[in-house]
Amino acid sequence: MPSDPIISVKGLSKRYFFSHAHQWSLLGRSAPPARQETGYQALHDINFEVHAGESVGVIGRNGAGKSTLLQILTGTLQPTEGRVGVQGRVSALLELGAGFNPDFTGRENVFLTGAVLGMSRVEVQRKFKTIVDFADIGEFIDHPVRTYSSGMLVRLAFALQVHVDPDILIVDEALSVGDIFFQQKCINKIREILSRGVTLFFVSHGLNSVKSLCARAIYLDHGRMIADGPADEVCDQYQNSLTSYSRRDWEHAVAVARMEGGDHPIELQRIGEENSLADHDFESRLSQRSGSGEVRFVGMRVFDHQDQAILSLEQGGPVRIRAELHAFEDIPEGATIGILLRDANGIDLIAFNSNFYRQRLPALRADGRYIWEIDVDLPLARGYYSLHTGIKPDAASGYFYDRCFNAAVLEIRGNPVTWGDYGGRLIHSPSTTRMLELGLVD
Amino acid sequence: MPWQIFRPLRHHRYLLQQLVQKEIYGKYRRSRFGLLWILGQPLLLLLGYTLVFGVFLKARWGGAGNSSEFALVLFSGLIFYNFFAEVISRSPGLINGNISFVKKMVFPLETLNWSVALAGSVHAGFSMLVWIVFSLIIHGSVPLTTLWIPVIFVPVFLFSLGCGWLLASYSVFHPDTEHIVPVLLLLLMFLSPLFYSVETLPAKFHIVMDLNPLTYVFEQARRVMIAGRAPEFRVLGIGSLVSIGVAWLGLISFMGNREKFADAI
Repeated sequence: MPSDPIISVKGLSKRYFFSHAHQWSLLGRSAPPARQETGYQALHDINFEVHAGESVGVIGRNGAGKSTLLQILTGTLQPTEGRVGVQGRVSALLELGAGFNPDFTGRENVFLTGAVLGMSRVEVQRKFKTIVDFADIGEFIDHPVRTYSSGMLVRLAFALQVHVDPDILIVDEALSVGDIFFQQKCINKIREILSRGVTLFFVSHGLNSVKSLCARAIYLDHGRMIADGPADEVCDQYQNSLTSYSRRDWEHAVAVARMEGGDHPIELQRIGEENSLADHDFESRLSQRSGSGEVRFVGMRVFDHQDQAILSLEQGGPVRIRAELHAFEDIPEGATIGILLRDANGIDLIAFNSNFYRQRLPALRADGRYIWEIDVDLPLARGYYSLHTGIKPDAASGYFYDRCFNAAVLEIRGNPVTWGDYGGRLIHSPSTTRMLELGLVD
Repeated sequence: MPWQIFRPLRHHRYLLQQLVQKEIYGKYRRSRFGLLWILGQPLLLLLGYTLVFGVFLKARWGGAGNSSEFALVLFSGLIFYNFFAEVISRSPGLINGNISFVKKMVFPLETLNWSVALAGSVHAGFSMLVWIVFSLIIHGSVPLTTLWIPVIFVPVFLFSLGCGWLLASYSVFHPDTEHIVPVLLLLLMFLSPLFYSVETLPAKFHIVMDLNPLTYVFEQARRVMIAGRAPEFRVLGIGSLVSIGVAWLGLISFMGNREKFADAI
């Protein structure tokens, strides 16, 4: 039986008014703003429910309404329309270090801010040591906070926030601070909190962090909810939306490709229609697709060293990846094809494109059918992987002719020579070991 | 209901305690003498008043007594005025100065006014201590009726708290309030019978005094601290009712406007 949602949002809209629509009134009741009042619609008819223990990422471009949504969930902003129900203790990492008094020592601030965050005295005393250990700021705990480096301040603030024992944890890009070790520690701490059944709301531009922390994602654009679903799918959809369709971007990219020229484009060999990949499932395999369509992928397959099309591969083998393309218009030379390889969680592992190897594609003719192939060693441990591909006029352009997510899948198997259990590790490095004797001690 | 005024005392006791500590310690933290200033400030003030009014101006309260007595009388009222002024002058900046409490976290904002009023009470308490010591030095005794002071103080506390809530929420929408409040406080100081008694004024000005709530406070304070008489209970009763009303109105107004804060700041 499904439990009641811990967060429920119904018909939520938020409008920021430019003029003084919000007036003070003695008893706090305010007249509804005039119809013609100008304002900015930050959120528009948002609906979703979140159940206890879910982890939800919120993605979208700047100004999409992500922070507004988090602030409304936190309870610091009121919706203009709609209803928002939140059950349980919320800890919001919207701004680290809010509430600190610069003249107080770290120790005093732990007690002060602990109280501000809603902890009781006993709670702060009980957790004091873990908080300080986590922040790892040493003897500075007894120095005024104004003498802290910004990294130390953030560490102490984060340590406090995550020890509040919330039912719902709301994180707004706060993790982009601190050094890499601390970031790792934060991610691990958030994972630990998640494993206790806490609900997470996580806003980030880092799609990989969203995919690794969240099972579900909500994609906002201009205040509207575009997608709500499994994190990897929604992230792909968002990434796809960043594809540019503008003619100017295309012209610019072609010009850049021409300028960067110098190397001759790779030579075109004719091999005949019978060599088509005949990848009839290609379209149905794709999870997302975008691009202007002057040239489109019609197939992608992975081959082993015997040139057999494969779906799974033993560890450490070299592979050949082939993509079949259909040009609908003349394509100037210098285009780039790229491949992105992801693990089963949708985390980006390897990206390479033809430009990395200084290989410029030749000009393609309208109505031509082509095969692009690349030989590559995939140093991967056992597991399932997906391949994503795109073709664009220049390696650096945001304009895509075609962009295909989930173009091919690949399973990597262990082989009898490298039996080891690779656990969660991703990279398989073929190697030989030796043992050498130096002699005996007299 | 009016008892909601006291909710923070019960539900946010630990938070309040931390906030009051922040108010008091934070104020003196970077100074060399630190907490000594809690005593030092009223002491220096009292010495200053004695010097100016007693020695330079040779002022006499109601034409009688000596110069130190004038300072003692003046200071008895000043304790209450300073408390009121401290709470009122801090209030307009309470929300405006703590934007992150409004926008970045879930925080019972109404406790901020309580913390300022409680910190002010601590300061007033130390001022009271200085006054008692001073009185002992001059008269060798303190009127026993001084024990009535808490009964006079509680309504002042509630009245200031209520005005504070009104000011704190009003100035979120009208930030200029912050600049006019110090001027009004100064005018109020001179329009109250603090440096003079009501009797010395021409009768036509008595109406101004009668409309000023602080008049009653100063007169009751001088009654119990200087004259050694019991307070007028009718005045205290009406004062308490008015104060509770003001505090309650302040709280309702504050809480009613609270959800508009984040949009207005």
